[in-house]
Amino acid sequence: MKKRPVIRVLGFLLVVTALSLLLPALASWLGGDADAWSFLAAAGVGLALGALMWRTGSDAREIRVREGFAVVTLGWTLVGLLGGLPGWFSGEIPGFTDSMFESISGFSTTGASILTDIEGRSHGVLLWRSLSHWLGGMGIVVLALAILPLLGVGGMQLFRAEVPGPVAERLTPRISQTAKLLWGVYVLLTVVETAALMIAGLSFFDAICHSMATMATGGFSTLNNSVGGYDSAAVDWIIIVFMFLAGVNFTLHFLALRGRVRSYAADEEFRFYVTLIGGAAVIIAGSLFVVGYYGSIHDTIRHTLFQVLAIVTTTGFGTADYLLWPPVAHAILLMLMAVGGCAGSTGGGIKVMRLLLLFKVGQQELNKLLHPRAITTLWFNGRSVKPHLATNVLGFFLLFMMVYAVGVIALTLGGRDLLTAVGATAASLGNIGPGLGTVGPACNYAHLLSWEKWLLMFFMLAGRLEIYTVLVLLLPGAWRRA
Amino acid sequence: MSPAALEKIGMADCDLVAAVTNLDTVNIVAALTAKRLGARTVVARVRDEDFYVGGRMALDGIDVAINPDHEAAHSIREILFRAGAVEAYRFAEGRVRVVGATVEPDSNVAGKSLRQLRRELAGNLALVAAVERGGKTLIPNGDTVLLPDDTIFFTGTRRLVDRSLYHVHVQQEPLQKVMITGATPMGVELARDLCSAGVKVKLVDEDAERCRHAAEQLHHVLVLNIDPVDTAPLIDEGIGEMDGFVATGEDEEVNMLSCLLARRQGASRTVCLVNRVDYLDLLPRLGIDSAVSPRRSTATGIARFVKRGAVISAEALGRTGAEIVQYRLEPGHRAVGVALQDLEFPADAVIGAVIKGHGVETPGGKTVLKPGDEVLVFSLPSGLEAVASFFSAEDDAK
Repeated sequence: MKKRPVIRVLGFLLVVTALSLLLPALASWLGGDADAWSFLAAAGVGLALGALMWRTGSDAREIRVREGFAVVTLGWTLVGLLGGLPGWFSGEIPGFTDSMFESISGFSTTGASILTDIEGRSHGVLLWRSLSHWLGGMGIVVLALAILPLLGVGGMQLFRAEVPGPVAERLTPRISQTAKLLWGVYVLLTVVETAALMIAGLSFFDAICHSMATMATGGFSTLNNSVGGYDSAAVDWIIIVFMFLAGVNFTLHFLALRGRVRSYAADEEFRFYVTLIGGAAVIIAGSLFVVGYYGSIHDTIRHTLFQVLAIVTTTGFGTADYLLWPPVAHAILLMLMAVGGCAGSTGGGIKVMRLLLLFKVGQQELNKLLHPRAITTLWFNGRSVKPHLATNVLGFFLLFMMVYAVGVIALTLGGRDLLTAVGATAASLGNIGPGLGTVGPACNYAHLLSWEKWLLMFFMLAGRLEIYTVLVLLLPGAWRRA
Repeated sequence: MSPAALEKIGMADCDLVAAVTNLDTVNIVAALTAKRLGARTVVARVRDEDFYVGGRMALDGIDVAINPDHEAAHSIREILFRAGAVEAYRFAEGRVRVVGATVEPDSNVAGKSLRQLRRELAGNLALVAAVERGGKTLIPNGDTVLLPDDTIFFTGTRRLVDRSLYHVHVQQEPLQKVMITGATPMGVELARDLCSAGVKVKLVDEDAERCRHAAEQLHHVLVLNIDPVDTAPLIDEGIGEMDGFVATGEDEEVNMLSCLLARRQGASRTVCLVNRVDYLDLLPRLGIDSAVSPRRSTATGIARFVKRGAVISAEALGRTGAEIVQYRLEPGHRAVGVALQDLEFPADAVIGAVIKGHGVETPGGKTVLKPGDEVLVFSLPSGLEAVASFFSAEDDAK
C-alpha cells in the first residue's frame, strides 16, 4: 500500500469536515448558545491536522484498489473522531467516549444516542448531529455506487455498469463523476422533504434537521421522543415516504428524474424491497389490530408503516415504543434489522439485493436436488450473475453473521441480558439506532460501559463500510507495498 | 481477398455480392469491401451472435446478414408447432405460410380427390399448391386423389393452414415440453425461441463449458450436462414425456441415435439435424419425423437474393428441385388486369397465393391481379425457366 496518497486524501476529508463545522458554530451563535467556540476550536484542530496531512501526502491519483480500502475505513474513523471533539470541548455531551459515540453514530448514519435530554442541547449540537448523518449519507451513496463496485466488495460489482461514468482503473475520475450525479438527487430529495415538513408545521431548523436525518437513514431527532414528539399524522406520513425513498437505490431515482420512471418497476431489488415492507407491515398491523393496540385503523397503519420503514431502511426514528407491541412484531422487526435498505441507498444492513441473491442461491440448490446434472446460473435484473459474485455475497453474509455473533457473545459475556445484547449489536451493525431490551426505542445507550460503547462504534463503522472493507485491513498483506 | 483483387474481378459492378465462406470475419470484410467498391446489395453469412443486436445485424453496410443457425432454428420451430408438418416456410413477413404435411393412412383426407375435399371442408381447406409423391413433385388439379404417404403443401394464412393440417393429420397434444440436445448456437437459438413462446425447454449437452455458456444466456431454460446417448439420466429427465425432441448436436450419427432413443421412450415428435443427403431420406424410415439441415437453410436464405428480376423471395420445395418463388407485379406487366383463368400461365407451375397490400387472397379463376401485388408461384423444375421469363420478360420490354 502506498501510504502517502492515502494520507493526502485523509487530510482533505478532515479539511472538508472542519469547514462544515462552521455551520453548527453559526447555528449556536444565532441561537444564542454559549458553545459556538467549541465548533470553531474543533474546526481549527481539523484544519491544522488536515493541512499538515495534505502537505505530507502525495498525489491522490495514485490511489488504487489497495489504497481504497484504507482511505474508506480510516477516513470514516478520522472524520467521526473529529466530529466528536466539539461536544467534548464544551461539555454539551458528557465525556470523551460519549462524544465520540454520538459522532460516529452520526457519521455512520446509525442514530444510536447516549443523550437523555436532547431538547436541552444547543442548536449547534443538534444541527451537527443531523449534519453528520447527512454528510455520512453523502459519503455512503458514493461509496456504494462508485467505490465499492470498483473495489469488488460484497456483490456491489453488480452495479459497476449502472451509473454512467468513465470506467477507469484509476478510481478518482469515476468517483467524482458519479458523486456529482447522485448528490444532485440526494440534495433535491432533502430540499423537498424540508419544504414538506415546513408545510406540515415544523420550524425551518427542525425540518432541515429531520430531513437530513431521514435522507441519510440516520435517525437523530431534535426531540426527546423522536418524531413521536410531534404526534402529527402529517409529519409521520411525510417521513414515511422519504424514509422509503432513502432506502431505494439512488440510481433508480436518478433514472426516474431523467424520465425513466419505469426503472423502478423493472428493478428486481426494488420489487423485493416493496414486497418485504408490505409483508412485514401486514403481519405487524394484523397483530396490533387483533390485540386492539390502537383505537383507529389509520393509527395502526401509520405507526406500523413508520416503524417498519424506520427499521428496514435503518433510519431508526421512533413514533411508538414497539417493545410494547405483541411478540410477533418484535420478531419481525428484529429480522428486518438485518435486512437493511436496497444496495446503493443510504440504508445499512445486509441489503435487499444480497438477501435476494441468497434466496436465489437457495432456490438453485433445491433445484439441483431435482436435476442433479443441471448447470444453472443466477439471474438478477435480467442478466446472468457470475458464480464468483454469488460466493462473494455468501461470504459477506457469513462475515456479517460472524461479527454479529462476536458482538452478542462479547456483550453477554460482560453481563448484559440476551435481548439487549442482540438488539444493541443488530442496531449498531445494521446502522439502525434503537435496538431491543434496555437499548430499545424508549431508552438510549447512555448506561452502557465504555468498552461496550467502543465495541459498538467499531460495529457501526464495520457495518456501514460493508464489513469486507474494514476486515480486509486486518490482513497484514493489505499494508505491504504492492 | 485484397481490395485490389476484388476490384479487378469486377466486384464494383455487381448487383449482388454474397460472402458465404465458413469464416465470419472473411465474409464481413469481403462484404464491406464490396459495398465500398460500389456493389448494390451485399449479403454476408455471419454465425457469431456478437454481431447481432436484438436479432439484427449490427454492422452498417451489410444489407443482409444470414445466420444459418437462426434460419434452421426458426424452421424447426414452425415444424414443432404444427403437428403433422414436415416442412414449413414463411413469406411476406409471415403473412403467408407454406407447410408440407404427410398424409397419414388413417387421416380423413386419404383416398379423396381435391374437388371432393373442397366440397366437404368448404372454407376450411387451404390451397394445395403441390404434392410430393414417390420422390416427385406434381402440381395437383381438382381430380388429383390424395394417397397415404403423399406430402402435400398447403398455402395460405396461418389460421387457414393450421385448420387444414388438423384435417390431414391425426390430432396431437399441444406443444408444452421440448428437449433439445446440443447447446450449439442453433440449439441455443431454438431454446430461446421456444421459451419465449411459453414452452418448457430442457437443453442437453455433454460439454460442461458449453452448458455454462448456454445457461448464462437462457433464463428460463433448464440446461443439463448429460451426454445425449447416455440413456439413464435422460430418462430421469423425462425424455419420454416430451412433446418434442430436437437433436441439434454437431455429430449427425449421435443426433440420429438420440432421436431414436427419444422415439423409443415415447417422445411425440422428433426432429433430427443432419447434413448428409443420404441420411435425409433414411430418417422417415426410422420413424424420425423431420430432418433439417442448416446448410440447406443457408442455401435457401441466399437463393432469395440471387434470383433475377422481380423476385422477392424463394425457397426450395421438398427435395425434388421444385421451388416456391415470390414475385412482385410491376405496372404494365401482361398479367395485370387479367383474370387468372384467362392468363396463359406456364405449365408445371401454379400461383399459390396472392398478397395484396396487407391482405392475403387464395387465388381463384376470377382473381384479377393489380400492379404491386405479390404472387407466390409453385413451380416444378421443368417450369422454372418459363416462370422466370414470364415474370421478367415484361421488365425487359419496359
